[in-house]
Amino acid sequence: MPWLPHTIPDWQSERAVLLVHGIGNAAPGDYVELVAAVKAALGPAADRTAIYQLWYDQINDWFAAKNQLGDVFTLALSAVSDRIGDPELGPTLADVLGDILWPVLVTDARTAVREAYLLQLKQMVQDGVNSGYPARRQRLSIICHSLGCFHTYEVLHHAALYESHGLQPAKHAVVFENVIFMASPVQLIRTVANALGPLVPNKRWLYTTQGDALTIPSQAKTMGGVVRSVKRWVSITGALDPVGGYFFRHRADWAYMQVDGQEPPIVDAQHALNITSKAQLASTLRASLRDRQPPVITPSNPHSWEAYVANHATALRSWLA
Amino acid sequence: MSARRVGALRVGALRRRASYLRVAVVFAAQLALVTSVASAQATLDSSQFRQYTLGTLLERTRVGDSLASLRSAAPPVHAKLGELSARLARPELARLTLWQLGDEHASFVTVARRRFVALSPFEAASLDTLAAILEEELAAPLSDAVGNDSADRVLAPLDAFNAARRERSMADSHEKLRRFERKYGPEAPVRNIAEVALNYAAQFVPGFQPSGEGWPSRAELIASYVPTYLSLPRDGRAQAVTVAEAGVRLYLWREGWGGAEGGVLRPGFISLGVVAAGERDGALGAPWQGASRFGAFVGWGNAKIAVIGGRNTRVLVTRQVHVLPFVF
Repeated sequence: MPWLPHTIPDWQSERAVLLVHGIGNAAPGDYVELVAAVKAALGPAADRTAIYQLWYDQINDWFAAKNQLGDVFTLALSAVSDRIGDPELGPTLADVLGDILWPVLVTDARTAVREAYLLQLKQMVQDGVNSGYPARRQRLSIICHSLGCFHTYEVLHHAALYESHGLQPAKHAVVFENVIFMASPVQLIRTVANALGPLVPNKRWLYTTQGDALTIPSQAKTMGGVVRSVKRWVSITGALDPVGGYFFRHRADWAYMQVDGQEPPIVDAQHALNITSKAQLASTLRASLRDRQPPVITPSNPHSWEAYVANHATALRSWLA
Repeated sequence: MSARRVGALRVGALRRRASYLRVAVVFAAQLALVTSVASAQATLDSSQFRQYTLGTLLERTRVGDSLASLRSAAPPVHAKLGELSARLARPELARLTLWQLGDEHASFVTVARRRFVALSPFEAASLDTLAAILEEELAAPLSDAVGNDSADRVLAPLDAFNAARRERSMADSHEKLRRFERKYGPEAPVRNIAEVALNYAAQFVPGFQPSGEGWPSRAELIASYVPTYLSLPRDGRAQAVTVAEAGVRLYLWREGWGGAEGGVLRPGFISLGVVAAGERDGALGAPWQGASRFGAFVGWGNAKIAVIGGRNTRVLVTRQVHVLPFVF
């Protein structure tokens, strides 16, 4: 069955939000609670905001069935465990993080998801244009979570570089008002990919690993000057969320995403989860794992997307309004 | 005063009057445009996109340039817009629709060089640069000068051109995903463990990687143990033959081919390579047993034919099946 982007043909205003999920097995119709949480955060503006969702697990499934990476994947996981250097947490966290590392090792998988994501963005911009809002007037935002942050980072850089998608910030005036990364593993993936060195294929098109540091994508104008792809770049994570670069309230610089030009970092204390020991955290995280299937992230898990959205409802409303 | 001098003065006066008239017409046109903008809806009318021509874009460029006072506010931009417009002034270009030009291909300049006959490469590059500068340097000062809605009305041909390019690019994305699905989707051949390892390594080899623009490679390596070949009957008997295959599978991208839709006659891939078989025929044998026999195979979708040479030459046929998932 061909993959089709989400389309909303009749925008009620110039505002649109794209939700990009992380590890999971989501399909159209899922994440109902999340959409409700986003709408609640937006308040009255929700009715005038086109809320899109990117469903890319169908594409992941094509590749999962055809690539069983075995030893290379084990190497990636042991690189993570070594870096964490905590015998109590390391193995569990490596298992949790394994799901976000595999696209790095399969060029075609990450290229196909990137293409689907680009198509979704083009559909979104085009829906806006067809509703009467040229790209320069559109107020676009992305809220991404977990592995979705990695794909977002890759796509924004690719879109800024390649004119053929019609999504460049200067030439095509496609500039995002907000990109909100929740529990972003981008820095973690960068570190592990660099540790794996020559085992990572086609690094030339893996933007996460390029340059001296992570960057906000931009485009040089024809007659001088630079336009950033994103006006407000926000990174939110939790002090107990390993995917976001925190290992039991300890920030690991090698895994925590911090980008020059971003808003001041936001780290949720996550005291309400009542997780008081490493063993308890490991147990909570392990409970989400399922054999050969995506994990199930409940609201009591420090990686819960719904919880991040609910905790930052006020800020989301002011950013997206 | 001589008659020649009087004549020259009259011609000069006429030229000046014509020049003033031109300015007045342009000014009136601008005024009419702004007036119509003021009474128009606050949003862009995309239903007009297919009507805009290159001539309209050039006219709107002059109008926008004038309304934003670029001559005094940004002389280099004013000069550049004039220079680019002059490069596109060939009369026969004016009637080309922007939708047609934009839809020609996402990477417009490249394709213009290759196959678009209406524009020279120089003209195609000029149009591309003009579109960029209109968005980058004119849109903001024009909005400041006349407001967002009026600016959008002036720039509507530019939005039409960009929308057409995006539409073309979306069609390309659909096609790329269709190809990825053919290669990896539910109807694609399944890889065994050896093929997973080989194709992981092949990702480092140009020709097996997707292109920078995201088009998948059509090639995939094959390394397979196939116990299901049958020899064509000799002496009235067909025998099972076990072979090892090494080769390459090439995916066919044509629409209507591949999977259940294409059936046997229009498969989604072909394959070719070398085979090795053991000294004796038989099912589930070892290809390296005794004095191995070597040959070649070709596949048309799942149907494959192989020839092995040596003293015991055989013509073999099979249909690709996976007896044990991920093993062979």
